[in-house]
Amino acid sequence: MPLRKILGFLCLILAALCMAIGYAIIGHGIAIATALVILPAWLAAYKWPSTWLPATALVVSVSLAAIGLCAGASPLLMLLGATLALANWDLAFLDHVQVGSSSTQAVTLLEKKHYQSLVLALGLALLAIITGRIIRFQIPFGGMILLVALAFLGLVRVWRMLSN
Amino acid sequence: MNSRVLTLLLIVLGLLLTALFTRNGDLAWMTIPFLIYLGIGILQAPSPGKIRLHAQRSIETNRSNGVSSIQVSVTVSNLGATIDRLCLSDPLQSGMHIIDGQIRQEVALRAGDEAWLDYTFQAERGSFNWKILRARLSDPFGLIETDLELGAEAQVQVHPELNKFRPLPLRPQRTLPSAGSIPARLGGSGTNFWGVREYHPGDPLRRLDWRLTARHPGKFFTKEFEQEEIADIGLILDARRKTDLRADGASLFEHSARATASLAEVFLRQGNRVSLLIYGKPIVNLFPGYGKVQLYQILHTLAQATTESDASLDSLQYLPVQMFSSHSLILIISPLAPNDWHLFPRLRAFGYQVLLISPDPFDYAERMLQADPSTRLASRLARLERQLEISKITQLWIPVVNWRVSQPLSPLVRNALNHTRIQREL
Repeated sequence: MPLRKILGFLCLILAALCMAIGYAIIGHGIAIATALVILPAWLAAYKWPSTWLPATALVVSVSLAAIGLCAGASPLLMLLGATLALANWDLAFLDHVQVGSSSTQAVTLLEKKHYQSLVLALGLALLAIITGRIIRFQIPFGGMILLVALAFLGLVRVWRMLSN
Repeated sequence: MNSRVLTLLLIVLGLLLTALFTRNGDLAWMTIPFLIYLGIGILQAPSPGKIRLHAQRSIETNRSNGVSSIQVSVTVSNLGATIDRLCLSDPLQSGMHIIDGQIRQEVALRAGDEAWLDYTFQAERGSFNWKILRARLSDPFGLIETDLELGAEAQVQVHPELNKFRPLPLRPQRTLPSAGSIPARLGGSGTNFWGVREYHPGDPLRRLDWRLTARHPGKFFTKEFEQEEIADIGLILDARRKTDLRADGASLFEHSARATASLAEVFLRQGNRVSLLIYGKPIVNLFPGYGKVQLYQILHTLAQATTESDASLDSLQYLPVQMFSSHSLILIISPLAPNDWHLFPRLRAFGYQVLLISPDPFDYAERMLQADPSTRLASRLARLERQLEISKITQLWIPVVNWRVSQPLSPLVRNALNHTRIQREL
């Protein structure tokens, strides 16, 4: 079985587990139902990766995580569930890659680069979330305005880059 | 912006709005993985200034006769910076059936590396042109994409399959004054005895009829032989959409095109002059010619023929027959549509000798038709209508070959030429 499939199934089970445990901890009986909703959605997304199913599965997973957060479930589990859902979505896309007649080296390199970037993104994201939840500090109002302005300018730049 | 970026942005926006409404900070934290994922994608997006790709296409042959496999190989060299994700794709052209390899693949290319796109396709007939190879470069996540068209030109022609017919016994009413193989009913320099006439100065001595000369002292007689000339043949191929029938990826028109190619080959092999008219959209007209060059041009034209149609081509009545000289023998290859018979009185009025080869659409469609009574009745009615159409044509002393495409065509044409008006007029 290719590495991307193994990673995909691992992320899928972990995401479902995180959500189910998160819901189970707060005593909601829909824990199993949650896992039952997420698992088939992602399995279908892996089977038909070129359709709208992966995006739908991601939206469903993130929505469940958000509902869990609002219902008082463990933020760490819900955030981890949403992050793993993002990884699932990404791996489903990678699974869609056509492996043609080029040297396997070129295809292996593609997978390697993808995994490196994914690990970097998810690692940074989890680090940022954990750091953010541990370190809490007050930002003065002026600093906040400055940060908002910076964020706005950054978004404008990103938008221009995307448009080009 | 592609759908992946849009999905991420919508999720981020949705989470932020929900966080604002519910005043829940954890929901805002949930946007962090998506934003970082997006940010890393943007940072790793390929810079258009650093992209230098070169593509080269090679095809094992640029001409093929009949159904055959053609291998296409495209090599892409990266002369610029490393590309994290490169999607190469070749357009799938109409009539191509991929039997091996893929026309699309994704790779990552280091500087100086090469990638290959190899595939083998099969085609019954057609003209295939490639101008470019599509390349899509993006970051490893496929978020920010840059489309490129790399020049990689090539062309391949798949000519219709030729069935080698034995020489056909043509006896046209009129021939062209050029040495050939068809008896012209004129005295001259042939091989078959034609008659005897009085000697004219300049006649070769070896043709003198010494016996007759001995019986008539003081007079000389020369033997004449039947001159052998060539025929002027016009082929008309019906390429209207309404007469084409497609089933299981096959088409009745392909049979017509193959028959036209085979007939052109045998007539040109016999030394005749052949022209071609493809009645479709557009109307393609190939002027009369001889030999292998003309055969190649006919095959080339047939390779490009497609079945297109519009209202102006609804009937064969407006066929531009004036392009054929008045002494031509015209062979029409058409499955016939209702009211097509109107063309044939016009052809007879112009003085053409005509032979109609009509691939039978009902026989071809039989395996597709359902066995319920109403379909059988409809099929029977349509067959009767076709029979009526054909009988109207035969009443004009025009031989008709009702060709079931599963049968070999050559004996049918030979039979039609032997036992019809064309033969009897001689």
